[in-house]
Amino acid sequence: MARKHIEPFVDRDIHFKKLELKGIPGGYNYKMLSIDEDTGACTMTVQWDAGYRQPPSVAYSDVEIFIMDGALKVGDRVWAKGGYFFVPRGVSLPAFSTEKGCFALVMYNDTEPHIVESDQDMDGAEREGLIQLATYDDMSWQMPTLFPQTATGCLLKLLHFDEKTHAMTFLYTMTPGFKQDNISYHDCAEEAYHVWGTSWMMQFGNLPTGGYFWRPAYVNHGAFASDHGILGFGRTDGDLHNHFHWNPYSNPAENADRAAARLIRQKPELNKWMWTKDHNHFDFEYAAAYTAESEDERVHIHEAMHAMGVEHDHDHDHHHHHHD
Amino acid sequence: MSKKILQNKPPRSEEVEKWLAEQVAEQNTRYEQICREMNDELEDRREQWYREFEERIQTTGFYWHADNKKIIKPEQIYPKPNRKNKVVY
Repeated sequence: MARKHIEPFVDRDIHFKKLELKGIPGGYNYKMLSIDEDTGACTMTVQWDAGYRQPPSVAYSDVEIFIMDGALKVGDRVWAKGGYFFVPRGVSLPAFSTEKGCFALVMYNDTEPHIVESDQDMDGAEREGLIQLATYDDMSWQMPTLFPQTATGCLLKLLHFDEKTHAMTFLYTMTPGFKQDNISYHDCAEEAYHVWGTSWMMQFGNLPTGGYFWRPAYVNHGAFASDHGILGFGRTDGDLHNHFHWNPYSNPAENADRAAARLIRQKPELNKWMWTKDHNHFDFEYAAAYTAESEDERVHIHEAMHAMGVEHDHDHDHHHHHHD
Repeated sequence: MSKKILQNKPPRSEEVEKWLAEQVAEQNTRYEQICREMNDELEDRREQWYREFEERIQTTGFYWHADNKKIIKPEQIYPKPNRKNKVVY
């Protein structure tokens, strides 16, 4: 993901702009929080004006929406603040509208923002992945079950979890008086927006309501504190492991080295296996979705599929050896 | 399957390319400002925060898991390297 390290940024410091792209109805206002320079994937705070109407639509991108204020009528149901949607690529979202206006986070995960008018799913769309949640009313706060874990007073609501990559979307809160004296980094990018409240991080100072960051992997953050508590919306693009330490001066390369050294120490057999020559770490669980980087790798993976009897198609143009 | 949907996306129009270029340019400007504010202007204050953190982990303790803490010894405190400390990359 080619997004710049944007940390911190407070969206209250800039004005809304009109999103005037072909197919986008009038009344769609946005503040760009971060954007991928290559794909156009982005995170925006959005203000839909009172009376905004959007026809039934699909997108070539996964789309996430989190309502922070106002209400949005989607199909026949009115969603209040706390409403969350994960709309997989190609899944048709019913017409939506807002009578008095709606303030939301909108994320296009694969492309720049766009709307294709359609009340039909695209071929291959994974409708079973559609998530619609009333996060404030229907979900309880949970203690994270990670190891190592954040301090008591940091609670989560898990909104979306990608079983394949462990990327996730979540609400989080720090209760008043929260503190955690350690420095953390992760093997994944992390993104967050403060729906309400101010917290402090030792590298960046205070992040108030409307505060946002997009942080690449292996960047130090913490210690942490919040006097009055916060409500935040967060996402990662991979598995969220807390690498805690107390060296304020380490840089991302040194942190990545430390993470690799820890993996070698803590999972020596896996490390040995990963370095074994002549195999390609074929994942039989996700055989159909596997993408190989080289012709040699494709041949090996294809042979592994045959060896395990994994169903697959042959819509590729390489030659391979079949096992008898 | 849904990767094929992404692959089927039509090429961007000139209008969208122009819009994207504007967004990226604004983000680059914002990023440069953040680098200045965080890496340079906040540096002295942050050094003070580092000293206070080091004091706390030697007295009230370092959080190694949840509220489990351990006291860090003075000889375990990392020295400041001979390079600029960056927090935004």
